[in-house]
Amino acid sequence: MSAEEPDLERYRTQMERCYRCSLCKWVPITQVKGWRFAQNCPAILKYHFHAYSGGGKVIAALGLLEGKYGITEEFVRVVYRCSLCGACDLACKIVLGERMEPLEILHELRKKFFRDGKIPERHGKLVEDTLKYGNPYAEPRERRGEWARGLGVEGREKPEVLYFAGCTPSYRLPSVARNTVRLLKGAGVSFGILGEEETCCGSPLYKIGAEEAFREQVKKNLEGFDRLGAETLVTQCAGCYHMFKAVYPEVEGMDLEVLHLSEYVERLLEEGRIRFTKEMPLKVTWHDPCHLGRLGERRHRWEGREVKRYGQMILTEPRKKVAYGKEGVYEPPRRILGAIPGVSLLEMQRIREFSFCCAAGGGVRAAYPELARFGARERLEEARATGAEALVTCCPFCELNFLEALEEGGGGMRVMDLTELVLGAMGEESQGLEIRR
Amino acid sequence: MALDRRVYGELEAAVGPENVSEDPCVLAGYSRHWAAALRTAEKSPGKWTPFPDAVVLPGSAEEVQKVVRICNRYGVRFKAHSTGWGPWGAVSQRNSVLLDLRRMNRILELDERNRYAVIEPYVSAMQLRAEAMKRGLTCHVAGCGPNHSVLASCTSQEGMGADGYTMSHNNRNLLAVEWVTPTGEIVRVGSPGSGAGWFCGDGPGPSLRGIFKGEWGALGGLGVFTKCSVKLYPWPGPPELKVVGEAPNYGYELPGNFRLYLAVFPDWESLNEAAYRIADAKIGYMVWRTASPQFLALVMGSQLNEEELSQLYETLEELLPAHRLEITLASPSARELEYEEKVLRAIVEETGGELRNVAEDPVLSGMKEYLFAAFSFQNYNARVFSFTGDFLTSFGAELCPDRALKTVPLGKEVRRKYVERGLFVRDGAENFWGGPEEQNRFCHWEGLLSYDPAERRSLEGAREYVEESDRVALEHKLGMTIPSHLSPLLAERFSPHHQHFQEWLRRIKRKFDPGNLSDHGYYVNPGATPPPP
Amino acid sequence: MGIREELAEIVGPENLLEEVLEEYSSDHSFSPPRRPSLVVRPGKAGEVRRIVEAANRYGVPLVPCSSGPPRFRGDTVPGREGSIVLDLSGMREIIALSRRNKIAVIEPGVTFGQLLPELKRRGLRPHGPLLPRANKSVLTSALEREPVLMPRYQWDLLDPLVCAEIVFGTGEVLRTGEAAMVESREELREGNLTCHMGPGAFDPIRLVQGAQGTMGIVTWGVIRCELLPTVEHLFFVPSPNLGKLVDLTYTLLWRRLGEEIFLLNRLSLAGLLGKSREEREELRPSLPPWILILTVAGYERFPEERVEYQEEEVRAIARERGLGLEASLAGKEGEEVKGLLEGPQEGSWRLRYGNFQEIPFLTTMDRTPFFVDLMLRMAEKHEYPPEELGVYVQPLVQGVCCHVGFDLFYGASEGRRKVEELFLRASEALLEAGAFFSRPYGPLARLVYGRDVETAGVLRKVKEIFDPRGILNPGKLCFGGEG
Repeated sequence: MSAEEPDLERYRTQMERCYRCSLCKWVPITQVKGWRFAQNCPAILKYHFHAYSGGGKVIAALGLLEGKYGITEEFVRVVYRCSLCGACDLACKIVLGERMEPLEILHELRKKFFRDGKIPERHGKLVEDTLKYGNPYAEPRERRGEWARGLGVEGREKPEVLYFAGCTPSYRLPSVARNTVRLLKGAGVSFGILGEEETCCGSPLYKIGAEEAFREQVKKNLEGFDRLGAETLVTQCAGCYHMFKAVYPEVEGMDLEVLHLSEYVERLLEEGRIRFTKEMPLKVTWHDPCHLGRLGERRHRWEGREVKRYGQMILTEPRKKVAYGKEGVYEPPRRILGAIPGVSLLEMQRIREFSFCCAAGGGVRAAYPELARFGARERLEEARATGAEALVTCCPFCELNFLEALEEGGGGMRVMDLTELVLGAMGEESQGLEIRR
Repeated sequence: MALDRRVYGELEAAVGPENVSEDPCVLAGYSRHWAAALRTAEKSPGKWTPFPDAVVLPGSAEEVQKVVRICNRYGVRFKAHSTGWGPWGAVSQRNSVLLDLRRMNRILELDERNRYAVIEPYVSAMQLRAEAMKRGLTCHVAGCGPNHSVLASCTSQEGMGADGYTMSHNNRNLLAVEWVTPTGEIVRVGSPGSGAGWFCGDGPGPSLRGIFKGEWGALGGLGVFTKCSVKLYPWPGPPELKVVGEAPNYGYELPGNFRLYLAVFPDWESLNEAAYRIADAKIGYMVWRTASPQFLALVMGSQLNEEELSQLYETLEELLPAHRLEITLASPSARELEYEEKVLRAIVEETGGELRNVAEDPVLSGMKEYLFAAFSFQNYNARVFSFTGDFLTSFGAELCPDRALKTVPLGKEVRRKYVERGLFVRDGAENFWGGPEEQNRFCHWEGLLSYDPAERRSLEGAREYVEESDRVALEHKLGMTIPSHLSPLLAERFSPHHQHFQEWLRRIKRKFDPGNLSDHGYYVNPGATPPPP
Repeated sequence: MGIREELAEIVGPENLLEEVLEEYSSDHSFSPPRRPSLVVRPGKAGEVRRIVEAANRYGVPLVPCSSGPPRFRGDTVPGREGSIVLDLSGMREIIALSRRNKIAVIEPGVTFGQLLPELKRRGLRPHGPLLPRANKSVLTSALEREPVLMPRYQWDLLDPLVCAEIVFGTGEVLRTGEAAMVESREELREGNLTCHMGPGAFDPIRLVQGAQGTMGIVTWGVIRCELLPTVEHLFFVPSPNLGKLVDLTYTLLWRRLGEEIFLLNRLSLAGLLGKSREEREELRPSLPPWILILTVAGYERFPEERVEYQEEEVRAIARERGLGLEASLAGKEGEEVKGLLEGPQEGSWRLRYGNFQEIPFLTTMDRTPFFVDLMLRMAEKHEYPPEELGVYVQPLVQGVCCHVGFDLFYGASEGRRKVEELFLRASEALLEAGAFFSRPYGPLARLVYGRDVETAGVLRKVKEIFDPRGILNPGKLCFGGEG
């Protein structure tokens, strides 16, 4: 059976191993700093039934595999009211290590649900739109590159860097893409864009479990990258970053060096191609996007067997490289913020690999917007609790979700993209976040 | 078989339709637990437990009361559930409603001066501890690790933990309680019943705490506890501990006024003697023995390759002999710390031991932050499950220290056989977790083990081991073992040798729950005939 | 055969007492007097069981009593006609003492006068109340949850009681806690019973403690003791302000400094120190309004060093609050007072100053100034001189709560009526204001259970289990009396 086909059976032993400790619902114990922000999962926080937790879904999957019940409407909700952020995965592995892969199980479950046609109605449309329009917003392909008008982006052969804007900056938050271009130009970087040839990285398809459709997008993107001929791909979309950095190499391979914009800006700073000359007095807090941090690490598909050593102790052979999210991108944005004169960083409690997901991803925003808003409000409250004046991040999908939640009365908090602060400190003009509808 | 449809309608009216579910994928989440082998006498078929027929999420004591009254009206069984951290969180039969108390998750009051907190069922020990620390206080954490419900541990389960030298056992830490009885009355046990606040659980007159909690509690068999107050203890450390290290082995920086020692002794008798003297000297913040050195190596070596793991196993086997106590000294006063260190050193020397300061040890100092988080805060206790995905324990009564000590040599001989046959993880014959509680007033030694329920011989071995260790405990008067707390059928074997306590529990059960609707599966079956002697 | 004959067969006719009935008919409380029909004095636990079985069969009420007079709380005055007093003072065996495990295994008739020297010889002292009288039953003191002097070593209100053998109202016997495994007197003598829990999923010991003999009769019990220090110094902290002393107490308990610690007002301290009314009156004016008394101690290793650093730190903490730590007060040295506390006393120290009625309740220390003010206002309203109000505050359970005892003294019969009225009205007001009467003696029970009806309902269910015929001390707590 190929990795494309849903294969819950592969994970049966792991599913049987869940011992119902509920640690999947909490940040790692040693990181708990208080009552209010100790939990890690937007879904269980909102819906409460154990099924909505990582462990609950694992158990639900096992029951399905054993034929105890079929797929009900509630089961579809349980599976898809989840941003696949991986917080449960990290928390579980702190204890079970190599013996459990909750995120892989949840993803496999989605593949099965999609294969069986058991998905939220809205997701069916999402898949269609993405394939048809090259973006999940059902916006015309021809308009994809409009954000770049007037910025003097030249066509280049073999640029140093391929800047991949992504669907959300292209269609909903163009200021983010425009700021990025200004930043790259300001640093004298030779970069190219795909413009209207750019197409969705495939993340929504992957997350929904639409494997075949996802692999189509992968092929399209890789062909587009080949055509442009850059060696380095830079994106500021955490979702796209996760795809190119962590998923594409497992699926088809990825020849380009993949960097998040924050990593690239850090490099530019070190090389002296960017200098911060203007003071930006501001108290900020940094939101670690899941797909940049804990999911910004490649998760190798393990092929091996479990063996018994030391009597009954279960070990993997070969030893599985466990993804704890340590290799995600955490320091570059912090170093950038630290280098901007006047900025003081006030950390939230749930940060780095145990950051709290805004709950937009995984198809949630499309099918269950109330959960996405809930996650955003929860995160905004945590941001406010730091005393910061602004919540800064570098993931346009998180930013979109935060802005939408604020519009619907999610309390006050200024939300900024990292590029605004970087451009400001460079003495350059920038645009603030504004949703284009 | 689902319940009468009217029940679902009434439940929805009581708690809101979004807080009731009968969907099987939701019910499944409450029906799968570890400890198949603990139910050895029932020959449990594995990790699945019976599915409830509905799960409800009440948000208040009043909603709990409504649910309980609905169940009484229709003759439906019910079971309270908070974190569900163990099979006792499950219903034991069909025709049951499970009350998931997750929405009742608030710390209602934290009285800093009088050192108690008033909490709802879904407040975890790690949350309470973090909030208390901000105020110079901390709470007792039970040995399953800080992800447990404090209220459930205090009212319904057991409650021994590695900080027990200072913070005792949750039988002691429980103060006042709000109790929805099996027939749906709300009773406030202790001072709140008189409108006097939440500082006391005893009276007026005798203490009703004695009805539902002893060495362990009713585990859902006597109604639902919706609120309680719990003692807090002085915390001499900073308001927030500094986290260092990286996943999966985060640690805490040792505050300047803390000392973490390993006291290594030539044998268990010396260790026990030292514990007596340490207690008599009235020093010490935490005194415990976490696990065998082999076990620690296997837990800490989760990221190592086989060769490195083997090296670590041998190193710790040598470095951390079995007869060892982890001792934390802590004081806001430098002079007191100095005094305690001096006394500790003298005692360890007198008893033939060796005192190693973890922060200065050439090997251990590299792991000191992790060891601090693991030993003194029990943050990694759940890793007992990590080797096989299941866990078992044995012995584990709270006893006079001299009596408790007999557990180790006797238990060791029983464990050794199964370990040598490869039926358990090879974690050393002496994998006992325990130590002195309440300044050595009583003591706890519990034989941990990891077996694989998916491998038949390992599962059968675990069941045999429980039977054999229970027999040894009975024969040598080592109290009631932990497995017997968690299996009413096993408890029946101990009952004739422990004042026929199950008969008394049956009377209590019949009096308070004449309809037998509050799930008796982990308490006592009121209709059962006791086995012949 | 009637019950008398049966009892004579059980204990021997010489242990059925009819000439002393008057002594058991009343005590110093306001409980209405009632003569028992008989006093029975068993000598062994087995006799107690048979007596209870017989009483159960005949439906005859039993009133257990272990201490010698004077008695103060009304709990040993029969609540129903035809009651038989079960005087356990003849069961006086000290079954075991263990320095190692710091316990004493004793029968109910063992008194403080009897036990203290035995403990002292073994380097122990009881964890007991303030100045118990010599003929007071040690076990009863623990069963009645009398407040103890060392909150630091009191993990919950059960302490210092550990476990016991109980005869329930059905005549059934149950041994609690670790004693559940004990099968013989020889095993008891090993002195290794230190855990109170169980057996199983209940704590029967908690059901007899505070029950005033209405649930079961204890035929032997284990109590926890403390080590006798090698060095111990007693200090006074005087203050015009109770709140400041409360503040200091909180800090000392958080820091786990000191051993014995309690607070008295000037009248109570003068009464404790004086040997006569005249002496008390002489002492009183030279005492501050409020006094905190505490001891610091050293044990086996480096005792002087321990005392030194603790004294220094207590002094520094007191100084931060504008308070001083004094080794003597009003001409009384700490050592002298310490000697007094080591006790026991012959007779009740309070009775030196006339009759008195105590109002005992629990609260948290921060509320004590409020309750003192309330009590003073009630005293004024009832024309009771405020300077005659004794106040004792005892921190308990490591500082989580405290006992407050208000002593109302009176002399002649008119004074008695007034004080009785004050006692009832003040108790009502205190209860209304949030005082917790955890030990509701006599008329307080009606007030308390009238307010906490749910607890009364549960207690009656418990009573139905352990004493279904209601023969144990009827009329106490919320259990019916006459009728």
